[in-house]
Amino acid sequence: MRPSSLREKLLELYAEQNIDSTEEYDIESSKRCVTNYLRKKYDDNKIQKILDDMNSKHDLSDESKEMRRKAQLSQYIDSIVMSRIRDSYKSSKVLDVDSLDDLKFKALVKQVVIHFGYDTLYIPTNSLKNIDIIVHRKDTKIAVLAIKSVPGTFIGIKTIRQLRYIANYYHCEQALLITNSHFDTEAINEASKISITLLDREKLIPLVKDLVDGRQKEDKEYLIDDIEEQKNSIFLEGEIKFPKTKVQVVFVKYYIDNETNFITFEGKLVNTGKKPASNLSVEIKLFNRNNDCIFTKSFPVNKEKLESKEETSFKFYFDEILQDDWENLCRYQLKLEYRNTYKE
Amino acid sequence: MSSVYNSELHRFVESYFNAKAASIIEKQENFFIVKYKDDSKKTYTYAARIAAENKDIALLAKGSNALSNMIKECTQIAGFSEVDAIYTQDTVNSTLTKKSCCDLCPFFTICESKDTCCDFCSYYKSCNTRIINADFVKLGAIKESQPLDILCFIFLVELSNDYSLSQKVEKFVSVLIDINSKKTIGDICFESIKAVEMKTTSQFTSLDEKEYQVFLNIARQEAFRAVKNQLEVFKKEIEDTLKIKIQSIVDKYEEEYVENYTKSTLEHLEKFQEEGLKLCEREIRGYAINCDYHLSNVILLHTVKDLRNLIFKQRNNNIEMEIPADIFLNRVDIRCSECNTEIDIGALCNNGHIACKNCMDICSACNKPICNVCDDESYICSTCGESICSDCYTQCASCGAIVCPSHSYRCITCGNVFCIDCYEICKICGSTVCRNHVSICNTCNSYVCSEHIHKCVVCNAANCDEHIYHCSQCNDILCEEHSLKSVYSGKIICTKHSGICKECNGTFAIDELSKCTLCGVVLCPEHIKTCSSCGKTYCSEHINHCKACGKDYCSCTQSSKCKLCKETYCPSCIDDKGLCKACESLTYVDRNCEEIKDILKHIPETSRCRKFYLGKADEVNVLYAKNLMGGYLVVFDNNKNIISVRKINLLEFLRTKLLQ
Repeated sequence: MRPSSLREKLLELYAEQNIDSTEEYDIESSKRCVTNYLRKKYDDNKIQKILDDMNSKHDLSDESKEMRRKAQLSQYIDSIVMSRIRDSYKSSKVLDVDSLDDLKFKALVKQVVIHFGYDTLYIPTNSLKNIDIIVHRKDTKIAVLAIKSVPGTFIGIKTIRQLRYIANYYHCEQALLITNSHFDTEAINEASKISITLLDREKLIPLVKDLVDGRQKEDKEYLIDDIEEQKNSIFLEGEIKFPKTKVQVVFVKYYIDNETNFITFEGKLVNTGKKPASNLSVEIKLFNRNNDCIFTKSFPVNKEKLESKEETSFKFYFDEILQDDWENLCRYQLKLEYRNTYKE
Repeated sequence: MSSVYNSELHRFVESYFNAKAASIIEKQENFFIVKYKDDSKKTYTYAARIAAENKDIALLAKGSNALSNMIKECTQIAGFSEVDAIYTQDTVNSTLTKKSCCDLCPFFTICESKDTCCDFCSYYKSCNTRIINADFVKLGAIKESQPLDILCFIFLVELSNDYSLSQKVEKFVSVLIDINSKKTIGDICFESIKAVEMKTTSQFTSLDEKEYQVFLNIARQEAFRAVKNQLEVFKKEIEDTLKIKIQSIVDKYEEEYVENYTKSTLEHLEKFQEEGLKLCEREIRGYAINCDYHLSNVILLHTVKDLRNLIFKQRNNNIEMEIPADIFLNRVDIRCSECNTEIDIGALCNNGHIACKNCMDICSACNKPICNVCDDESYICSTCGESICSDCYTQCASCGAIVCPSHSYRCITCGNVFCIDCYEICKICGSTVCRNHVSICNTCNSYVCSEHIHKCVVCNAANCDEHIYHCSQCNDILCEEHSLKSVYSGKIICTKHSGICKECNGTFAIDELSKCTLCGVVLCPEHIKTCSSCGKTYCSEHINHCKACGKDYCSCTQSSKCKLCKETYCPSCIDDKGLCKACESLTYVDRNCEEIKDILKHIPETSRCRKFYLGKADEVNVLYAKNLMGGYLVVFDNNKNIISVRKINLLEFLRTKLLQ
């Protein structure tokens, strides 16, 4: 699982445009797509250069057609799942979630989430590697991922962290992981720390029953609660830059510390590689509304060496930012640097 | 006789009788006799005439009862055979290629591009196993081998909706059941079963009928499961049409119900409702999908399930590697080294690890797999977000951002590589330049490389090719502000090579200005005068101008006065009589002539004259207005400006004009 690349974003755009050849694509919206992806306004020539390079390397036209076709089939799958739900209601038989294949299971989960009053914000066209749906309720943005696996197997901590990583990319405060099997203890412990709600088989089946019967009985018990309110709060759009992939930021949050009144960043890093990593540092840049970087700070992580699979947490604050400047802040960019020891 | 008994039909009939333990004991020209296992005999013929003549002989021909019964019996009991099924290097090789979409795909009936198999099909993983960066070379050593006896049931499944849509889908579904474990084994589609290499076996397995029925039931359930997905799509296809039909029936009956509500009795209305309901039910029945399973063939396969190494050769370096795989008939299962799931698409790393599509990252630049088992570090391009391997990534020389080769830009000046934030594109040549070596044009504010930026010699301001000027005299580079333009020729000149005309104050290139020979005043080509005789240049004050021929002449030439008009001209414009060209050419004109009208208006005395004579030279005109004895001589230029007016009597005129 990794965030969408520029190529995937362009493919999504082209698939939406429903045009047959690359020449016909709306060049302005392609440029806008690149600018949005890069989160910065660049010179038109630079954007054009990126688009030309992309078109020379990939046949985006053909790939987008394929994507469009799959999106059409997805709609088909959605309607088949709806029929299954209706059939299940008519026959008063429990909908057997294990009999569904991957795609139908994902479609069913989508229906469950929508049924319980979550509003759809975004459905990635290419959902197989990423998240399935982004929803929101009570001002909370939630990334939803459904995993169909063989009953009796356990979903591990790796998937939980990857989901957090993707949820961060899409700026989701919360994430929801739903499966027809179970989670292992490590995964359950980790999920509670990094704002991920887990719904295993035991929780999912009552929700599916409710969906089939058109009730919302199990909602309050299982689905996401409201986030706690804070006295002083600011909203910053976040961007996490991962130049390398072995050490990952599994969780990051920012808040105004009630005691010190400083903007504080808190998070957790994990070494997903098999060799230790050293010289870890986190660089945080704060941008104003003109996209100018106005504050930047690099914080070394208090851990000389991060062993394989080891976690470490970080907490930094910006004491130089006055309260009056808070309203000028718009975006933060977190960049993680480290050295792979085995390369030495 | 031979042609009848060599036919396809006869071969089928013969094999049918053999299967029933009967044999043909006599063959005649027009009929043959069959002896059954209970020693009864029956005569058959292929000729309708013979059957018609003799009622004891049964006809075997298209549509005949006997042949129809034979075919029906065959389709009901299906064929049964027992074979050895083996896999070979070729069958394994064909298994490791991308499959064409089979008709078991749930979307086969509706998919636009059903020629290629895709992962939207629930059978994709079981049908496809491919290594994208390596080619299968040969079979390796066997690690484990398990002999298996498999019952392969082949069903012909028909999905139809003949009543209303005439839709019909036919497909073969194969179900494999392990005789020993009584469990289905390996989802293998019919197309793959067809490709299995089968050989006549020396074994003979006896199967109890009850046991066979158990297997058949399992097979039927499995066949239903295989078709269920497609059935749902099929159902979905006709659902919309059905909805529209039902809706139209409901609408029609609702309308009529409202119309008849006040006129009819309750009983009548209820009957009316029932009628509508029945019509809907009939419509729904009509749209029902029939799903028929015809057992077509049963094969008992004696085969093996091997855990065996397969030898692959990596495409980029030709290194051969052994990969363990489960091989069963036409199915090859390779497991991911990282997550141990069966792969559909995988990649082979340099150390022989196979990764599935969820566990592998492929370098976007060199297509090399980035192996998680080997703990290869992968990088993400800060521009395009694609994964790159440690061999292909570069870091921006300025900010250190990681970039892939496609999005790393080399500065043409310093040769270092930069990211999108730290490079600029030269507006003139389009080449990439880093922030340190790029210049900004003072006029258009565009980025320009060092080759296309130039500094003004006067103010030192940098400007691009499009906004610089070259002095036509010394070729110095000038900015827009410091470049001058000759009013006369439009040439670009620097201040050093420009001059101002004393007369018009215009700026001119230095080579366009000339000095007066006498007073030294600098003048532009418009205002400088050149003597037509000696060629020297003068200002307008120091040169004479002949109005008759328009030429300038200096003191090198003596000027002459016309005897009649008393104006001064160059000597060449005065003839032998001492007259200028205009006075010489005096000819009669009417008083209404346009050329003299204005003159007559300005000098009213002349209008009283009776006759008019006009003489013309280059820049001067002479009018002689004649009266009885006197007259006027008016000299005026081409703009009708009067130069001189003089009274002249006829005698004086004649004397001057005619006498030498």
